[in-house]
Amino acid sequence: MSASSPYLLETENLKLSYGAFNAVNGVNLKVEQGTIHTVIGPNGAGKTSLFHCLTGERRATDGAILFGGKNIIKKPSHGRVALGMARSFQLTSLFQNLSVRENLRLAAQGRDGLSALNFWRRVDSRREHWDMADQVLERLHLTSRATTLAGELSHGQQRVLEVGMSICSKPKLLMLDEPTSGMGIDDIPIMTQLISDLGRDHTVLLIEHNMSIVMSISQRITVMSHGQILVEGSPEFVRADERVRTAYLGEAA
Amino acid sequence: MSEKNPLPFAKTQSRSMLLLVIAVLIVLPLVLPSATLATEILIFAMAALACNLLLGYTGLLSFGQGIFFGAGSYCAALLMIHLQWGLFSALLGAAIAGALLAFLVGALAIRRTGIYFVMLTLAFSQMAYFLTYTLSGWTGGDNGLLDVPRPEIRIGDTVLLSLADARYFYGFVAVLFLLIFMGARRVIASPFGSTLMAIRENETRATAIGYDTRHFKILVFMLSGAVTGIAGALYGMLLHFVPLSNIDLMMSENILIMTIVGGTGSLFGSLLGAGSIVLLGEFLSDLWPRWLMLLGVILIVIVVFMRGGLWGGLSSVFERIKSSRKNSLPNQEQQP
Repeated sequence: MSASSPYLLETENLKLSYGAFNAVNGVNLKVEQGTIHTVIGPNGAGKTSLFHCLTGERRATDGAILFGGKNIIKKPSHGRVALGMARSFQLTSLFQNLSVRENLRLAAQGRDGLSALNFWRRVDSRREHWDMADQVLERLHLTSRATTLAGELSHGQQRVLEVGMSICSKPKLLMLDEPTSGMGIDDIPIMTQLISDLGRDHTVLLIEHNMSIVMSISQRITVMSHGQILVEGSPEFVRADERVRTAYLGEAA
Repeated sequence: MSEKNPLPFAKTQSRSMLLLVIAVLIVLPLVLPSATLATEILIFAMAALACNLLLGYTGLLSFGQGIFFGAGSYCAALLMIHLQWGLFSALLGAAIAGALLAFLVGALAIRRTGIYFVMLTLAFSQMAYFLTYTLSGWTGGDNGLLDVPRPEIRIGDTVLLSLADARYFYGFVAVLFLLIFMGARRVIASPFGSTLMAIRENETRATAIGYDTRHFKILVFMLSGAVTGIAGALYGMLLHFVPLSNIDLMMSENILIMTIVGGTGSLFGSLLGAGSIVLLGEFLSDLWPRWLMLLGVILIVIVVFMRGGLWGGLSSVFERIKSSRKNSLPNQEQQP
């Protein structure tokens, strides 16, 4: 592990091809330790494909993904959790018929990987997983809903739980896929607040559509277009860039 | 009103469930016409319980349960006939045979999910049947395996208890059932069991939070195979005979039907399911030779009108009675 590198996550010439089509076409992304780094871009720019390569949902066709200096391109997604990566889903993906607290406990237990194969111990014997679940409940302001089934939460609360589950494994890197997707206008400030709160003790890689969130909480923004990086820089820099405007206006027109 | 309990194992609930099972085990041979019938129920309840671990707790629909049941039957019988193995070693052999076959079937079948998984277990089931049929020198083929012993319980050379009497054999099977039931509950309440439920609920998410779900599915398959193997071995001892139908696809179907009819929400459901299907078969076949048609009708009624099978139906009736009683007492203090 190269401790000297300021970057927690780096991709080198990353490619994901579907036949002749390059959804991700040679991306060199560098996510600095301790920042909230957002990837934006018009529909079809390759944000989600890039995200899938990073989470391990799809195997990148070419290039390298360095996490803490180690190439993890061949690691399956469950194996990336133990290394300190965690993700949330764009479409809410919870354990609907289990309680909120159990959802979080399972997420905490997941980091220990195969030790959960133990079928002769009691769940309660792993106190630390419950403790983690309770801490996260408090942080999400969901303590009063601990025993509610996840599927019975309001949509906004489900989105909060969706993001919250990813911090239960004490990850170094949080990868959030459009956390505000489908959220009502009234709930969005809660999510913005939550993400910037999580950004205080995690490195966050955010994929987001909602411009006002992106500009207010990101330290660094990467704009993608046609599978490649178009512009990268601070929010002010990106806002002022002419190419970004055309990319978005081009989509609207 | 009925609040769903989000924590699967509240202490008191768990104890009353255990008492309920013990009560059923005691009452069963007293109310049924024969101890043999009661034993048959418990044997199939074991198989259904093992199937429930897959279907109810992990969400895996396996048509391979007949393989493990049949393999347990043949394995224990052959060990007892040719190698004069005793009761416990034969049962252990059956459990290992069931677990190993479950490992093979599981390891290959779980490479696919959904309908393809189901088709693979079906294919294995057919293969196992024809293999058994072909190896008639060992298995007796169509005639089945005859003269299967029912060894006594012994330590060394001292015979502790002969199980020749149907009532004693029932007692033995009942104790075994209770141990397996308690074991299965323990498995469900473990980190492993909680992960199975996570896989059932949402496998994508389970993978995303760090579980290599293949290992969990293979292990639950093996546990299920071991218990089903034991049930198969006991069935051979009960009948003194291993019919070829023990490893037939029909056996897999029967075990699945019992599991679904009983209800997949609770292990106790498996006992209900096995009990009702075995008893229905027993009594309907006396009424009418085409009794399987009646069974079909009953099955349809349960699946369509009782969500959660017999267990789900009974517990919702019970909840309704409880809440109506609460409402009919006007002076009772009620929390909002």
